[in-house]
Amino acid sequence: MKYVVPVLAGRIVRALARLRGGGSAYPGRTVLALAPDFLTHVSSQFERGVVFVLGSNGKSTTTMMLTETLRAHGLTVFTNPTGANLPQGIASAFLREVTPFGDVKHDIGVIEVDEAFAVELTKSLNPSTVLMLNVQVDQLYRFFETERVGTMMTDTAALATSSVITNRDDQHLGPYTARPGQSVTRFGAAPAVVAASPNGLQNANDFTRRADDSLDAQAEVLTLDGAGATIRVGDVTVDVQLPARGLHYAVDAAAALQTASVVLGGPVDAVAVSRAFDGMKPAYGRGERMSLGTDEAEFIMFKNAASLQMNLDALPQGVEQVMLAIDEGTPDISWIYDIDFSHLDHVDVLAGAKAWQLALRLEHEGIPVHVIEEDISKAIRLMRALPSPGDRTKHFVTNYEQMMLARRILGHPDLEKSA
Amino acid sequence: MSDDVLRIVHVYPEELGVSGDRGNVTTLVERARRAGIDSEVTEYRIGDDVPSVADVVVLGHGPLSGVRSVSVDAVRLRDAFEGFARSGVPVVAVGGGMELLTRGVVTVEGDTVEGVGFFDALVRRGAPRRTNYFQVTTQYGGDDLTLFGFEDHAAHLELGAGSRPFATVVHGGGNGSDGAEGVVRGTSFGTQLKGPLLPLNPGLTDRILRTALSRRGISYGLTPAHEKLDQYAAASQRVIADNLERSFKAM
Ligand SMILES: [Zn+2]
Repeated sequence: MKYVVPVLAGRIVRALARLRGGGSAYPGRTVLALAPDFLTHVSSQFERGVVFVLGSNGKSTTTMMLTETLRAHGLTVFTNPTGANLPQGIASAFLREVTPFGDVKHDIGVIEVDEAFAVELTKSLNPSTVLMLNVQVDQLYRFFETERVGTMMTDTAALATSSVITNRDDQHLGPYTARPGQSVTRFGAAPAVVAASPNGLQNANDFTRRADDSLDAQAEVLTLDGAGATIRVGDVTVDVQLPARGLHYAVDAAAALQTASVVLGGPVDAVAVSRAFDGMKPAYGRGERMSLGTDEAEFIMFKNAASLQMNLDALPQGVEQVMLAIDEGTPDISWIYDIDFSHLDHVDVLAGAKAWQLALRLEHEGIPVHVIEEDISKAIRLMRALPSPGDRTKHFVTNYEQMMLARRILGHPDLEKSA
Repeated sequence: MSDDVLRIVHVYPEELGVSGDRGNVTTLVERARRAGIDSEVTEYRIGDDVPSVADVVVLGHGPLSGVRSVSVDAVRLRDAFEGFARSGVPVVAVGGGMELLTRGVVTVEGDTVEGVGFFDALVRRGAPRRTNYFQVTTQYGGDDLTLFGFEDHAAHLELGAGSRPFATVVHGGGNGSDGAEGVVRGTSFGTQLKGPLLPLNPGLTDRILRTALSRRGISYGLTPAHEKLDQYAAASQRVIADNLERSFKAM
């Protein structure tokens, strides 16, 4: 009975917040204030434990891939919605699923966790398995030092009670060694696949050690063609259709499949995996498509240099119509000078307050920009007015804030924060 | 190699190159090119032969791990850099690159990462973290010149008795609490201005290019080909000026 009042209170707060049109953290905060051990109470009920998904980029996509793969193997899976990766957000997500007594029926929890809170969250969520995706440089702004971000992840992994899955190709994360009682397995991309990607994997350098070529990967991306990937997981080879183009998604898929195999305690079923991937829609702004007149708009969101580079590299060569948009939501964009924009032979519209900085960057490269329009709604009107392109797709490459504005302008509500 | 080529040495491009610092090199090359001058960029990495000739030397920003990882090798550069200073070759050092060229970096843990000692200054890490737009005024190479960029560090820079700052802070933090920013030594300077510094501030880039090229008897002048670069840089500066008070969350 201990959780009846907290759960009820949390749900009332959520109902009130919904009426006022927002506020996702309050319900979670309320239930945690009344029942500080709520997260532990719920997570300890998952028979197959809790999986943490950590990484600079790709947490949401990988969490979705892992969740759907496990469901295709017959497990019931609790997961937190994209971006709800702080303690209050996770509590809010639990709140939606529990009975009035605070009970859940799921077999397993797959939870994406913000690196900065991950060690703290191990205390309440006791993860059995930790998946570490990558350390990439956006975090330099957030945490000042990439190695600190790497350490946050490996410190968290050290607290996993049974398994750690790590990225062979990441200098910070690959060398992780098992703590007593842990098994460590790795995922990666075959060298030929990485070599075929114009700018590689975009993982941050670790200046404290040299590259280690001796590590094995139990799951590996073998081939990649557009959104089609072949991945070896242990002795099984599976073909999957990724939710969007790009090497980063293929690596995320290898990470998810290796983790699924560890959780299932045996090989994945290739048919179930293909079915799971076929049913996946791209996560919010990760190759998401919506109609724009008689054409479609494809939204690609970037958070930092690594994700912008990986997404640009995944665009078709010489893409016909493209808008880039970036605003004050991304404070320091010094890194645009490290980006290889050569995939673009022109840009139709540059938008957002930082459009001028992008224009300056592209002018250095001799890439023509047709229009600069700071205002995103005017910019979208300009894109809409362009004649229908051959691929019927108008590409929008934007930061998070510009994507949210653009989605709203195109009549798509904000789903991400309604946890 | 033709005699009128601008010789740029880019030092530790990976370790000191995490915040688009390659852009400072890109701009030097591109503005020189639009003035009809070709460039040759030499990248210096750990263990390479120490560069003996240069018209301009560029160091970018890196995290403390980057500075630490090059600090032993960097000692080898000491004499070459002294030579550059004597002959008026500008050494442009941003963020971690500037820190490397000081006498050293005192870390939060209290140990010291040895510096090259090119600038008479000492870095103390562990100051409150600053992440904000940055506006300073410098007299480097001429009259007052206003510069804009991004400030992102958690360090105090203590200048030695004979050292002068590179600029005066108009908006932002700088070296400490005295309104000074960076350090200047002859034609060389260190600064915390990122963004990167040179693309966003063509006026400064041109002063560096004139300093670097006039030594060689090569004249550098603006052409119509520079106009778009200047126009976009001016618009970028205007947006930064409009957003100076904006505060960014740093964890
Ligand atoms: Zn076009």
